[in-house]
Amino acid sequence: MAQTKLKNFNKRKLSVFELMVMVLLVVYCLAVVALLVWGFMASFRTDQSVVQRPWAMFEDLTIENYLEVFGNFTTFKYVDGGTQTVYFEEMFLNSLLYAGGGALMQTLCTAIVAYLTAKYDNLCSKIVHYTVIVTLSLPIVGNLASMLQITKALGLFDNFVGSWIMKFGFNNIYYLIFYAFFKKVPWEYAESTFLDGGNHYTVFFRIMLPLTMPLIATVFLLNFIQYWNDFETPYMFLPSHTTAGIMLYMSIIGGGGTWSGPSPIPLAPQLAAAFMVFLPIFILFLVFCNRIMGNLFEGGIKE
Amino acid sequence: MTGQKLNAASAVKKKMSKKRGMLFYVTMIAFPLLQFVLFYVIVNFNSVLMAFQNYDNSTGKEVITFSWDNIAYFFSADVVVDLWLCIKNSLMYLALNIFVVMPISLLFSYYVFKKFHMAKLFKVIMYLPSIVCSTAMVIFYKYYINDALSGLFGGSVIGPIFNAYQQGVIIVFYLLMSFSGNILLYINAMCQTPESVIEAANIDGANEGRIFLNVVVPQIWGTIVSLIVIFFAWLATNQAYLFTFYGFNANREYQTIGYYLFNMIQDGRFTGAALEQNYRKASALGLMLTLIVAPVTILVRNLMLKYGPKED
Repeated sequence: MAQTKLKNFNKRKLSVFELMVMVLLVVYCLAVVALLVWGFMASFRTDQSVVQRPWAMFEDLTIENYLEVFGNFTTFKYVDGGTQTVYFEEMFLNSLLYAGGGALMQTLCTAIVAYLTAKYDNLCSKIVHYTVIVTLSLPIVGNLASMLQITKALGLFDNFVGSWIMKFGFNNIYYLIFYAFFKKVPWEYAESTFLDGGNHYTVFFRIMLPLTMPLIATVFLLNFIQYWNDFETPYMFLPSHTTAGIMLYMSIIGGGGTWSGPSPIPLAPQLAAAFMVFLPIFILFLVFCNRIMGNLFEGGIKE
Repeated sequence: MTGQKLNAASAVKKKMSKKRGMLFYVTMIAFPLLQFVLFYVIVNFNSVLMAFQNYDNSTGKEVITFSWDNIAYFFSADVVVDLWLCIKNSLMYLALNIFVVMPISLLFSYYVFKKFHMAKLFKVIMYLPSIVCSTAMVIFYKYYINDALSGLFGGSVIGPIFNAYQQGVIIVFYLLMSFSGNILLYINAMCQTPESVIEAANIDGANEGRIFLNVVVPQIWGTIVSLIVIFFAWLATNQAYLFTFYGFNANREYQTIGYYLFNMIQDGRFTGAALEQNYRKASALGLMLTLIVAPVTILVRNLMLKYGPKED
């Protein structure tokens, strides 16, 4: 098999265009891989070794840096008038709650609203549909301060439920994808359910939602990755719930008591922490590579 | 008679079904709509109000008055100089997005779309920067430049002190992260190109370059326009990773409008009334920028759709 591939490779002539793009691609991919591989190897070495011989990638390997992440990357939170140390595990859990809950909320809300506007032809659906299209193409700048004020006024500031409610929105690009999907699903499915004694809830929860599951799973994964990597929103809206992303950010700018070891923060444990934050996403990516990188517009129902 | 009864029963059933449908519709859409009203309509309306508010708590009581002061603040000499620097940098990133990132991303996507040599491997590696947390990527990059490649630059480059190399190094990072951003979107759009069109071009003897420019690009023009519109919309929000690299201490020489705006809200040096007033200034700047960027974005979109290449 591999030999046939190699033969085909040799047989097919490379065009100048293909060759030029290939060279650009090789340069780009090498830059990305070199960066990640160097960082990964350095995260297993001692600081001194990395600084003195940065390219001796297999020298002085140790697991110590990863253990230090659990011991020394700490911050504190206020509990009952006092302070409590927050370790990396809790920050990791905070990331999971923020990203998992937010992704689930946004994906479900978007799917529900897209289903309603695609399948229930009334004035409200039309208004909602065109509102999404307009708001998506109309850039509004600088409403972050107002958002902070409103979330504080509603008691949604600095708590996970608040952050999930903030994410329970539908004016995002995935609305259009869900909408296109539901438009393709024949309403006959619903009619036969009604004949069998089902109601609108049965149609949605027993028929439509299971049909949409692959798309929901993909959108959930994409949202999850986005929120896991987002540190600015929790930094602004969840100040007492340090996420792993915020911890990394604080370690870059050297602020806010995220490192309880000797100062300044050594290079290698910081790299180890960065890889630990990247690891869950990397595993997800490896497991669901085809789903994440597949065509979102594919997989509709064939009429 | 029986037929009439049946019709009546079916009409009643339909009515019931419609009523139940309405009940289902209302219960399902109520909360999303409420969320939209709270976090889009009210937030933006409040943002406009805040742009004209002055906050004062010097008497121990919160007093809010309305004036043009926040708008006028951005026309004072010192601020204008800073803003002009930010605008220049933001325009530079816009130009980079349109003239460097987009063409190269399109070429990369075409390579993968045509399944040229090792396309699958390239696709996976290209996508990696999109899934790595920007903070983690900044850490890898910072040490890679400062330690692994330091010989090339003669010592540490990325740091708090301004130096000539630093902006170049930040731009390289920006490019590294940006190429992968929209690749899947382009590939998905390219997949909608009918195979027959590409085959016909092949039969006519068109080379890959011509097929790319004259067949594929016109086919995905709608996607290209959408992304250019997004780039224009980003003009006022793009922080170019400065916040991740420097927190609120980025050198003014590198700052973008997006960074400047975000910094006004999160800057830890401001607290209490000063921070409250900063919120209002940021809203004023946001309002002015929206009034500039929104029409420009719509104009660019319409012009590109009108004068861009057509599928036929």
